[in-house]
Amino acid sequence: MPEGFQPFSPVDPDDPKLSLLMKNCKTEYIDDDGFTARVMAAIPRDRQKAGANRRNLLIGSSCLLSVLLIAVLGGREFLVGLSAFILRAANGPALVLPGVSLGILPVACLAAGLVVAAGVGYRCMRKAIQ
Amino acid sequence: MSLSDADLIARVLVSSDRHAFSELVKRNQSALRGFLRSLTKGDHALADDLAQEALIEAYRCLRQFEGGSRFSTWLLGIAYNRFRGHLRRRREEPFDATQGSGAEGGASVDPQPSSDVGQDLAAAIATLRPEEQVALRLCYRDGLSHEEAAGLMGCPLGTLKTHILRAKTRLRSFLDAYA
Repeated sequence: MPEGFQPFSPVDPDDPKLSLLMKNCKTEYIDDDGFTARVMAAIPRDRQKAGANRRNLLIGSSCLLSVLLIAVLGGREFLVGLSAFILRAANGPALVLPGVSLGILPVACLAAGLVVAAGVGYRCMRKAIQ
Repeated sequence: MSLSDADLIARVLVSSDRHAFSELVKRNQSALRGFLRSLTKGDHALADDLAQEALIEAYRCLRQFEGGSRFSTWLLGIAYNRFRGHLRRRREEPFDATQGSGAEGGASVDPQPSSDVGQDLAAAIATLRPEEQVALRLCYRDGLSHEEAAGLMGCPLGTLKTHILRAKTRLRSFLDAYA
């Protein structure tokens, strides 16, 4: 018998000798060998994050499309129309679409894009602070 | 300075930090895979598959981890349940009642004592029935109370005590070789 080693009692529920042996019980270290990478690849991406990514992609595309439309269909005309529309909306009771070919849609998309971008920026900033 | 397991878990929960979980996997993969290799009697491929399933389940259920035990212990509980599920799926006879007795020459333990008690004990433990291995490990290595271990293993307290008693009896047969 090795020095200092005593067989433990099988009926003692709190067996300090067995505890000591179990804690000293040798277990071979297993190299990772890409196991962690395989596990992480199998773990599904966070649903919320995926949803946010999809939303950001949609908003981003809308903004890009709006800018392209403005550029293609005449930016100066649009801006003049937009300012006229804002002035009419501020002064008069009736809201009418600006007299440009683009209508209100690009403006609404642009505004929505800005709001979402501000929200995403705020969240990123909070994460960075945390 | 490396973060504690609790810090890493908090990062995963608060900001879905995959790098934090990756670090938890790296820290625990060896113990988890070794544990499952022991339960699967050395079937490395099966052990790794079960380990991966256990880690994915741990990621999904991380909010349920209450911190009452160590993360590694909680992970072993999940892995053990996965192993039991695997046995059920294969409709195998879960445990061979004749194996594991050192006195009966069960498994591959060298009956001649070597100078390395720790190594011999590890080999002897590997011959125990899976539920006995887990019960011993949780109570005597990870320091859980019998109630906690029974809860983690999903068995009644009396059953857990029976597993421990049987495991100790079998191990004593093995350790008598040192007498």
